Amino acid sequence: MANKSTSANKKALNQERGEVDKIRPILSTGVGINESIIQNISIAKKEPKWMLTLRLKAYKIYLEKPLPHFGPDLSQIDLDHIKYFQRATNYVARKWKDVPDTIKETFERIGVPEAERKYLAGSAAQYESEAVYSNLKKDLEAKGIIFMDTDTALREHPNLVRQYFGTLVAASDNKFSALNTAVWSGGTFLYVPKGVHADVPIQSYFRINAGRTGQFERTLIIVDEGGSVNYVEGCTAPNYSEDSLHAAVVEVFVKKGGRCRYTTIQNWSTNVYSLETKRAQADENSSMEWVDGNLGSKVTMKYPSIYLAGHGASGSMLSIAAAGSQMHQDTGAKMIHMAPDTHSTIVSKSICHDGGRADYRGLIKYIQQADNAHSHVECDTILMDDQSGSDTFPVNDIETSNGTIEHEARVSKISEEQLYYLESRGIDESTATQLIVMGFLDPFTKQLPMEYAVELNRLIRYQMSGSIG
Amino acid sequence: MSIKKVLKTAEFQHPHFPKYLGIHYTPEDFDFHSDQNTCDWKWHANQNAIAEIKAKGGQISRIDACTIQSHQTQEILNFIHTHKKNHYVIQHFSQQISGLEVIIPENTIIQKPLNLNIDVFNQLSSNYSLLLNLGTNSRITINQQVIIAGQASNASLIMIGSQNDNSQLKLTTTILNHSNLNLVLFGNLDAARDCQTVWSLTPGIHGGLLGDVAINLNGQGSFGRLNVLKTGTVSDHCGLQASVNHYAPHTKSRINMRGVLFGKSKVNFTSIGNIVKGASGSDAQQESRLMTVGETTHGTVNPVLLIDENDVNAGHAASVGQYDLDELYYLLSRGIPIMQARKILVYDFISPVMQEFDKRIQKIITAAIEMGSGESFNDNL
Repeated sequence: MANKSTSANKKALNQERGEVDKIRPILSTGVGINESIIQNISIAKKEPKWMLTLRLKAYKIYLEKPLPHFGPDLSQIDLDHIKYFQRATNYVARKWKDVPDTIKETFERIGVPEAERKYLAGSAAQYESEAVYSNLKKDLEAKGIIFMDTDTALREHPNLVRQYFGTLVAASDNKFSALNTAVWSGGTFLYVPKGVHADVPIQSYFRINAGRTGQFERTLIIVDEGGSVNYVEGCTAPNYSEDSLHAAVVEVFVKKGGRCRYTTIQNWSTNVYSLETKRAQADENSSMEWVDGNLGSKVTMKYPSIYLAGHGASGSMLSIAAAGSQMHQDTGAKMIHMAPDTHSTIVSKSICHDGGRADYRGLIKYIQQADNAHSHVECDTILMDDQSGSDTFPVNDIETSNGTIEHEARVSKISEEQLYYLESRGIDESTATQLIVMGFLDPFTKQLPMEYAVELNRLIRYQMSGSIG
Repeated sequence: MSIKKVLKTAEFQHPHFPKYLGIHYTPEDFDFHSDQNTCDWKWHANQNAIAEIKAKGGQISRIDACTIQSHQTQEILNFIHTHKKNHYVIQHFSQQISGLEVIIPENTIIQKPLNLNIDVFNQLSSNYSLLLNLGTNSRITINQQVIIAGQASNASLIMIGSQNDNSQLKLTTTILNHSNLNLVLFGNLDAARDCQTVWSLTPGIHGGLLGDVAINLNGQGSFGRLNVLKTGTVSDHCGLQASVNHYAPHTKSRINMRGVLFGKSKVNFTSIGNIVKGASGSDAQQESRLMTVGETTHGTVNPVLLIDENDVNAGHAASVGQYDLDELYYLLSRGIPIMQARKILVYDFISPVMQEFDKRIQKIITAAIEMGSGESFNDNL
């Protein structure tokens, strides 16, 4: 019975995610990267000169920087055989009816319009390296919120972009931030003006489609003084035989008294390398929250960071990672306390099954100015079988004498006591295991918008179908 | 082949300075500036324990280049291999071998604790090794105290222990040194089946320290406990990694680290609970805590878990922070002077590890805390 429903589930999900869509890109720079390709990208996008200079400078840094010396093995990525830029359509669609039908179908399978119909505000969906669909509800526009793809933002709000672009994640930060700065395209630009609250979550859906396509989106979020926003980003990719690379850079600025929540659910297929640099700066009395779910990919390396730069700023990271067969999730968080009375929380939950690996790598740092800082870290891992493994590498570095850090971690298998209890109530083992896993992830799922929570539960059930029935 | 000859083989050329997560140190600080080992040291211990060990067939003997025996060479070579190309370990054994060996034969229970005192007077950099061998079904308590005097800027201490099946070892190691000394400390205790190992360490009261100590649970059903207590005063800096490796099923471990930071001291603690594949039913728990008392201290705690087996229970708790202000307020409200109240909180914080040491060592630790309190609390007042 269980097997039957499992295969039905898999089939349903495959249908939903779909095969590779047959879209011939209008413009592609082909395979590989060099200076003239970067120039072509910049020309194709009609970018200002400073951006091209920035790109070329970043490209030089990219060539010099070595691969990270820690974490998963990245030697299998063939950076010379990736398509760095292609454009699906030659215009950025403003209205849903303008979006090409084949792309529409894909989105329909993923469920973007459905989600929008319900209660999501705007939707800038990324397809093949560039946004093809972006739509803002009128009430958001009326409030002065700018929500568009970063390419358009560069054209329409060049000064705003220039002021913030690359100031938090410099090209020189790491090899992949340099690569992203050199070849970025697409991504979301979101500006919330002073004192404006975006009442409903703002959503964007990302998707890699053709094989061997690097996706290098660049997201820039600015929440001005006293503003607030909940930005939701989902990622899904169909299965391919070739390795794909996703190297995004996200920069978030939360000004005095502002509030930002950035929710991501990532569900790459098991051949995608997801190497992301996500960083936020929280000014005085502001609050920044990362809510981060990592389900798929071959290798994920992602350590969202928050610079708590202003007095009384607070930061939080709530993440889950589910690593199945041939997956290596190397995730974590960094909280850098740079001002007095700053506060941070990290809650990280991982599940490993069928030989998957989920490692936690984190940093809490209090610099000398961070008087009375406080931080709480929890990392819990469940190992479903004896093929799976998990390592935990937390660093807690304190240069003050009046701050406090609490750190707890736990690695274990599914609680036999809980299993026994549920089975004694007449629930079969696989259902019981599933209930326990869902319960374990509950602190995460209950922070998600409703349809994301539903989707997450379904995806986990699907991914773990061999393990938890 | 002698140890020196082995170290000259290609395998040990180009050694590197060890890297530890979250521990920052200047490699040159701990590097010997002289090849000459002028280590002049003597040992003494309580006579009743020596008599008991000898009567029961055990022995305590000096090791040096002339008298070294093949089993000792073998143990040392094994140690060198487990530390791969560690520069300091190779440096240690490249010099004249100098140290002690304690052997307890099988089925021997030593009732009296052995209070082993090593007094080192070094004018140049020096090394000292302790080999420990505990037979099947044997039991012993050793309180080892190493006092390093003299003008040298560097010293190196290595401890290699092996326990046979069902043996019990309670070992405390205290190191006292002057404030200009940079000390490297490496230690491995290997435990076979059903052993119990408790190792409590209070390293280097002053100066710089770089250490890497480990208990290896190689046999089923063994239990290892590693306690570390460090008091940092003035501008001491300490980087210490404590690990327990579970190589066999149903093994259990506890790591308990406590550091009190006075003055401008800097303490980095890394603890590792490692459960390899196949070590099912293992239980590894660790606790690393630092109390920051001085105004410009710098502390890091890095509790690492390396888990490759699912039927296990592994966890860690770590904290860094000042004493609890509510607790201080409570004590003050009971009429206790502030200096006294702070000290009570410090002693309460270290008590879980403090109790592992005997009275003699506790007095030394107390003196260090009194000294640290003097320099830190006065500033705050």
